[in-house]
Amino acid sequence: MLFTSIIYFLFLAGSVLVYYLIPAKYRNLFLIVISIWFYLYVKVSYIFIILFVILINYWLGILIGRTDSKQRKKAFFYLSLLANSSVLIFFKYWNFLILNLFELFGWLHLDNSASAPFLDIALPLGLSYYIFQTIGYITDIKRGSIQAETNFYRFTLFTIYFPKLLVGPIERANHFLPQLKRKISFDKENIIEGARRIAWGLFKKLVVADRIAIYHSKVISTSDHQSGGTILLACVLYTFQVYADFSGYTDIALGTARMFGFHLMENFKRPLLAKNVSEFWRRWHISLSSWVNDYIFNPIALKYRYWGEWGLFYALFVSFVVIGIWHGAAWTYVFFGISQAIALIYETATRRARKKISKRINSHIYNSVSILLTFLFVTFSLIIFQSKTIGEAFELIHKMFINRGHFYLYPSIGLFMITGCLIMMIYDLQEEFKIWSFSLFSNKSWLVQQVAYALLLIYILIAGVFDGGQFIYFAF
Amino acid sequence: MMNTFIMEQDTLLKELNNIFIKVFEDDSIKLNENTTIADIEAWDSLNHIQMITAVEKHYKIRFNLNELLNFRNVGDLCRSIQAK
Amino acid sequence: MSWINKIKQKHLPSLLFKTLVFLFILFLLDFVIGTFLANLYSKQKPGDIYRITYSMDSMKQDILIFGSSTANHHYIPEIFKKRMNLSCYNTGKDNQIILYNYAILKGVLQRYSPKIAILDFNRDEFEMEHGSYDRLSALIPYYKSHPEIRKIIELRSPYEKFKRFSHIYPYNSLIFTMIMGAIESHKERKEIKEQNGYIPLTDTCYADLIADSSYGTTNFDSVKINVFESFIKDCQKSNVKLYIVISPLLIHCLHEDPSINKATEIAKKYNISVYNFTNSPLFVNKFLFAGNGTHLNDSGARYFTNLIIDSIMKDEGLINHKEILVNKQNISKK
Repeated sequence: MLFTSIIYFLFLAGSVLVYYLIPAKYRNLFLIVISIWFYLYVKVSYIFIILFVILINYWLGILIGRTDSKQRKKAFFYLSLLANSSVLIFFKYWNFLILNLFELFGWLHLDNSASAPFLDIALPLGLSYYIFQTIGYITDIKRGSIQAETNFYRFTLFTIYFPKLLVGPIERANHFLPQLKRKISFDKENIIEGARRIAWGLFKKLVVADRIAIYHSKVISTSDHQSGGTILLACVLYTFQVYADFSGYTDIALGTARMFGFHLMENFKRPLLAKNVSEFWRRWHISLSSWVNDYIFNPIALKYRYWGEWGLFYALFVSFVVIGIWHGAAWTYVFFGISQAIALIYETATRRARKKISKRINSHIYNSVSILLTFLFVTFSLIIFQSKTIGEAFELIHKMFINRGHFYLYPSIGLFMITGCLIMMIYDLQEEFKIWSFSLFSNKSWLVQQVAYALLLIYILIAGVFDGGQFIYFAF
Repeated sequence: MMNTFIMEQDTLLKELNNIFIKVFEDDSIKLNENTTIADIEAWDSLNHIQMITAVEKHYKIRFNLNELLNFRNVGDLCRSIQAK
Repeated sequence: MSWINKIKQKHLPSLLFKTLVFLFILFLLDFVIGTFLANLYSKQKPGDIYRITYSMDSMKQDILIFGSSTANHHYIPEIFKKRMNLSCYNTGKDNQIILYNYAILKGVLQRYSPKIAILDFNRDEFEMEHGSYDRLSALIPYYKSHPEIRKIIELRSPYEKFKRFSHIYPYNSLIFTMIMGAIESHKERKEIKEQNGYIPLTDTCYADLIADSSYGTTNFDSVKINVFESFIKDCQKSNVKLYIVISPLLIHCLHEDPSINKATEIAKKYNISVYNFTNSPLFVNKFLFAGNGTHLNDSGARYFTNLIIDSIMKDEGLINHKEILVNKQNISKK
């Protein structure tokens, strides 16, 4: 069920209504029921996988918590890790591993004539998100940071809660579980703020992301005949597209959860205004990057802290390769991860030097240039991200520099894209730098606020793409 | 006994403050029991490692991995140091 | 503002009140802006939007051309007028296929019955794909005023009937085009020399004309096939003489197209003439006729229109065999 479909809003309206009408003690159970229904709506068979993951981890989590023996804790932990990783690897990376294994056989001149056991499996909904969340949960129990959840229904809801199934965020036990213990009562703030969040999400997705997607896919599919300037524009716009797409969908997810009285983790913090790549990763897909930070980077960096900077570099490399392949089973994603690692290693190594430079130059200029350079880096990284092969990515960059021809941009679509991006970025700039004291959407008068949000919806009607765009982060 | 303990805590915080200022290159740092990584702009997951090694060097101690992963704020850090 | 506060305190719960105010503001803005957009839409100077409005509301020509971009660029109404002494209008539109064509036909038949209709049919036109339904959005502005086409527009999605409650929605994605279309001085307008719906391609394209080795799909959309049949039936019911034409391609097609075969089969059932110019030696590899890789340019269109007229006039018994040959020679001399 797409977040931008009419049926989703009917589902949401109906669910919220029933949710607040039924007695508070049944609300969590109700959420479990509709989450399962939501899951089944997409595909019936997927429910068995998530239930399997829930059962195993619920049980092992309690076992780890109960036992005092360090040995046993480790054993249960590794058992859970094995189960979770196997599910993830099987559904997501099997074909990729088989393909590369057979290619390796070929290189080593081993017999690879047998037909490769490829499987035709689709990725279960939200797999990458909930597996990571569960691994985090089990690790937290093992470290002693949290207590295992003994209420089976609560743990089920923690894993399967539908707003975070499609695009995350990857929640944490200490952030989300306590909320499930609270008694939710009707608070109009939740409904209003939730609805507003959803409105922004719809704007970003329908007006900005889906509109750019039309132009971008046209340019890229005919890139041989497009001028370098056109290709560059398409790639720059693609950065805005991915941001609008992912953060817009996340807004709808968070807004939905808010309507039910829950605060899910923020996943974006105006990432296009980051001044360097490290900062970018603290503002982009925050639930993933902080997960990797807590469960991969920190342990490795602390373990190898006596290697000095090399320990950091190693930890960064592993962390970003993980972030890369989390996105998918392809070498482009690995390369994407490595490119981020290189950028971060560079930044770590040159930290002092860059700080010196920043002290010498006017801070506005330094910051503006930093934001621009970071944006360019992100744009080029996304070229790798969007291409099917690494070769394709480099070809595209090559075409960007050598292709000659007319600049391809019809005024109408250009105006739609630019207006959309402007509205989105002005909002972000205002949130970040507080340039104006006057505010439309947070105005003191609630009437002004109402008109502002009405105009937002009106603009979505005027400029949104209603023929169904493709959401990029689904296939994770 | 209580008084020496509290004094130790104060000096400990002062010493840590100096280490933090040195490692993070920020003179404005003022630590308290509840300070976390989110409270100080200059403190991030990268120089966190440097800070840990600097603390270990200063007090001639070694933290184990489990302790390190469970530090939530400066207070936790203090208690861990005192325990050594 | 105090009276609002008084109502808040006394009568309705705050959330309900705020929601009602919000909805009121929303509907008001929707109505005002929607009316403005409808007005802007109707004032469009000659161009894409104008041609649809003209086709739906005004045209009364004797011969109508239906189809996609091939129709739009290949049939010259001027020549029909000259040789057959019948007025002609070309309703062909880029990227639109039988679904759109049928809607235009229905709009037309509400008002009058043209003498002749020529339906230009494309390879893979019966293919199961979603885009052609999405593109029916071009007709949404006519949803309210033309009940006869509602069923076709509703093929887009089951929610179309509800979307029309918004006054703005029919003009979705059109606002910048409309603003430009309303400005007389917009450059492109002057460059498009439109002749009764026909848009000539004036360049000659010297790109390589590589043969098409594709097989075409047999994954048919039965809805499109039904609409095609309805098109034929409606023409017959209203006494419109229908011709189905498969435009020439400048490249050699190695395999027959399943959609074209299917269309021909259905047409035969109703005794409709089909003129199939696929692989016609008069056009294959004739790069002087190429406007781009897939369409004829103005010279090609002139030649082709004359050929069509020859065929029609022969069919009608209006011309004998000798005259066709003479015409061919005259044209190829130009």
